[in-house]
Amino acid sequence: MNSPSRLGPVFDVGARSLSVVIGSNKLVGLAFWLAVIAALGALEAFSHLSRWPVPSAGDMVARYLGHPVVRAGAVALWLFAGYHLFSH
Amino acid sequence: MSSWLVRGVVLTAAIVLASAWASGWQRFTWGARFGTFGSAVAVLGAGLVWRHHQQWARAPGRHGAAPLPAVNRAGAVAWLAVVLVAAGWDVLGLLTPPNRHHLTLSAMELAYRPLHALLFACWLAIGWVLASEPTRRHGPSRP
Repeated sequence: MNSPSRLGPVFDVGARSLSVVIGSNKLVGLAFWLAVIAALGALEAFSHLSRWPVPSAGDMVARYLGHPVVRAGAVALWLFAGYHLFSH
Repeated sequence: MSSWLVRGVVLTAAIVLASAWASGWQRFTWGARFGTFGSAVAVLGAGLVWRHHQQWARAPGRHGAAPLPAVNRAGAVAWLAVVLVAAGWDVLGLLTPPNRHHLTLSAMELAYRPLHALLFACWLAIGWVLASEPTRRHGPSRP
């Protein structure tokens, strides 16, 4: 249980702290990831539906991932994420 | 009904159907591989076609390049904060001791089929944004 990771004591302390604080309840994990998805969806909705000056995801991509090489890297990362999450 | 609404409804229905289909995949199978990368090719292709059709409707910026959208810094920080919190949680979840549940995104989507479908829909939407938003090309140097 207390086996050290290869990433160093800082990460070990962080992981143990997380385990202590939230336990390892799968429902907590599910709630966290649903909250993340809801937060991202809310930001996107605010950008389109409100006067609150939040950029949309498209604005962020066009502004910060506009260079073709950077965009290609982002697409490669997106493909790897799909491979890792859905087929690997 | 406006054409924009029709397109939105069709796109949403396609994503929902694809996500429901994807939630039944078993990992490490050819069906999952073909389904994942077939969906990726379809989304990227559709996004590129959409971008091609839209580029003539956008007003050209300086030197003929697509104009950069105005991005509010506080709004950008809000996006970044959510992404960083999620990334931090995932890294810490990877280091959870072996005898406890890992609360990483991949572990959770394996455990909950609806989350798998929701995540697949989000993944498709991100691919659409990456493919359909214009890229910048460097124009001639300023005189």
